[in-house]
Amino acid sequence: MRVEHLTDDELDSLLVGGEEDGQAAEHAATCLSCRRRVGELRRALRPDEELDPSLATRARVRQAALAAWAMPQRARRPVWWWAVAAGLVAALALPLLQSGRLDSPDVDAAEVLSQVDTLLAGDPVSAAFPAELVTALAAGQEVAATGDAS
Amino acid sequence: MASVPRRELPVESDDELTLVERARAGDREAAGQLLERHELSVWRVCRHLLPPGEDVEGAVQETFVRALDKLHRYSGKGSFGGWLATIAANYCRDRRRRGRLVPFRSLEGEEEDDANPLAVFPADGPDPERTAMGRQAMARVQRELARLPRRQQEAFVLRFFAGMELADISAALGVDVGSVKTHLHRAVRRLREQVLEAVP
Repeated sequence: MRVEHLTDDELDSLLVGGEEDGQAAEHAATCLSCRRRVGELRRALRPDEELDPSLATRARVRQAALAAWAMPQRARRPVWWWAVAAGLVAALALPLLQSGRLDSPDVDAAEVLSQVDTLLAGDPVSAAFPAELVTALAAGQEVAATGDAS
Repeated sequence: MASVPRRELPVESDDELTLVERARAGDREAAGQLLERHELSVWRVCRHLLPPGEDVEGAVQETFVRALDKLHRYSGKGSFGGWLATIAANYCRDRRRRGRLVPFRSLEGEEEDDANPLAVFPADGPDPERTAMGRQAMARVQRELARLPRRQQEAFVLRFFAGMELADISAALGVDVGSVKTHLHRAVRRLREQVLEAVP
């Protein structure tokens, strides 16, 4: 039988489990010092039961999950999902609504172009700007012309 | 011989597969029994692998709902508990990735953390001094566990807190068994050092 105590690597292997070194396991089973070392480490590495939830909490969460599972998936969608979906629908529908409102009557493009040509050929400034502005501009030009002459 | 907890309630695998079949058919009672058998592992996985400040209760519930929705995908090859713990670990990884949270532990929080784990060791044990040191060791392990690299942390929690076999952990983490062992050895070495500082 082996008399040397377990090395740190052998100790780790025992704790990790899986394939075992038979001699190391045998020594750990018979050597008081090594057995105590392994025991202390196992105790320290085990789950902290003090932090486990109470039976009531566990039951409540389990029941909530079962209730959610019983619902159709569509009904389980969170509130934010519905908000995003509503926003997307609105964003997509808005252009369609707007194009529906701008329902313009039929127009004769050639006629409109002809009227524009006539207007611009006669007095383009009057066509493009308000009458007050055109009058003011004309008065200004007259003043300037008088000043230049004198 | 592995020292990790295997199952929370003694079950026969046939019995468990029957429950899975019944749950797949919509039997709510069977589904409840399945969850109850393995729920502690899920709680522990979520508690240790979720980013700090995340809702553990919500994570456990979400894990359960996902598992029940995907019951048809459970092949029956590995243990059902391991499959459930894997879903929990994946959920926690998603949360961590989404939040891009850097692990943070306040000094105040560490003091609080020290308080709870100590009660695991009975105060009226045969050797009070040794018991106190053991309590301190456990507190150190809990604290150090949160500082391990993610892979080591996941491997450790799945092995020691969820009781999963190495092959199941390998499948859960998407790495070979040798890598799982390496992660576990590194984690155990680091945690052992903490224990030995408390229990010389």
